[in-house]
Amino acid sequence: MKNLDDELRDLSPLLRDLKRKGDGLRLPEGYFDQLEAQVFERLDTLGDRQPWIPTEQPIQQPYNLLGRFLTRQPWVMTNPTVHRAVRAYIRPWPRALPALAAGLALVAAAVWFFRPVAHQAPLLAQVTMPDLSEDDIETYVLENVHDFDAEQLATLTPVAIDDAATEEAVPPKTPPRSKRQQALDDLRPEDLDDLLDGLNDEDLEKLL
Amino acid sequence: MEQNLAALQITLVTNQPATDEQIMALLRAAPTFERGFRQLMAQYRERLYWHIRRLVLVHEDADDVLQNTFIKIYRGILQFEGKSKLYTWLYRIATNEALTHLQSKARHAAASLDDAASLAAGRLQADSWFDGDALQVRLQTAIAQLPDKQRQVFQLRYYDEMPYEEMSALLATSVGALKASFHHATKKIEAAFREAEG
Repeated sequence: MKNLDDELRDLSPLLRDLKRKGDGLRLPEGYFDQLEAQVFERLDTLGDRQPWIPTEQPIQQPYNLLGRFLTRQPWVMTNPTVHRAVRAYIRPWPRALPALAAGLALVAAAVWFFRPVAHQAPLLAQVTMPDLSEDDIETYVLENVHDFDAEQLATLTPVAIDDAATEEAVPPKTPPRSKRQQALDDLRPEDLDDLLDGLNDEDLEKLL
Repeated sequence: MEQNLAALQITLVTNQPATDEQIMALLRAAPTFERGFRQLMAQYRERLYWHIRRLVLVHEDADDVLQNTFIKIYRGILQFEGKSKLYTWLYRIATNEALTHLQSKARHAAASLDDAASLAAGRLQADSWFDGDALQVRLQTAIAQLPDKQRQVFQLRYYDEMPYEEMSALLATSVGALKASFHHATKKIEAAFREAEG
């Protein structure tokens, strides 16, 4: 490899001559001795002294208790890699907080909006009030059988479930009748007369 | 790290220059951080000053830029991962600072970067820390008008006499491209001289 002098001899004798004369640039005496003090003075003015060492005044106050605790530990303070990692952990929090709050609000709104419709129906416990009779409740349940989910229906009495199952589509408009009552209601007057005629006093007494 | 610190003690006592590894070892420990930074400044301040001075020409500007450079180095030195030489990292910061300074001057003068460089060459004559003759002023004016990259190559080779191989690592450019760049720069400067003579 040619040195510069040889290179310039071939390339530019003018620049070679000028180089020998020097460039005429000078600097104040003792300039470099003062430079260090000037730089540190400016660092002090800017409040930038020792950027990663939280000695008297931390550069960035941690935003959470864990961050504050960690940055005060000697093993963190004396290890720049660990300290940087801790600062990286505590830094994003303030920026993430609004996003986190907005996210939670969205989730809450979504949960409220898409909540199951069955939950809007009155609970069985709310229907079972002390001033209602059992028949009233049973009637109400059978009339609104589609508004109850399986779990709620499971809490009903077996009779009510059976009735609900048998009269799925058309809920009864009147209270359900017993078999005996139904048989009596279905009797025609002539049949009833015949039946009464066939009964003796003892049988009639038992029946009543 | 303890071995590095011990070696540095010997270095400081015998006034030998500290190695980059020794400086970085000091910088990476909180109690010795400032000592390491002072060591870094002592080691590289002159080299960086002259690099900056030849870009901005005037001593006052060079002083400002050098101080800004060291403040940036102080703030960011722990981000230096050691993938390149320490000087390469420092040199880039100093170059960016100097070019930003020239651009800022150009904005204030509402002029292009080339004009700003010419203005700086004009200011050179008024600089009390310049005692060159008219030929030197003409040379600095011609250098100031070179494109940024070409100017850096010229200055590193002409003033610092840096070998092309080292310059290649510093500027991340091939040796061939650097030689060509230096060749073009010298021809442009000679042409500027001929034009001035007229």
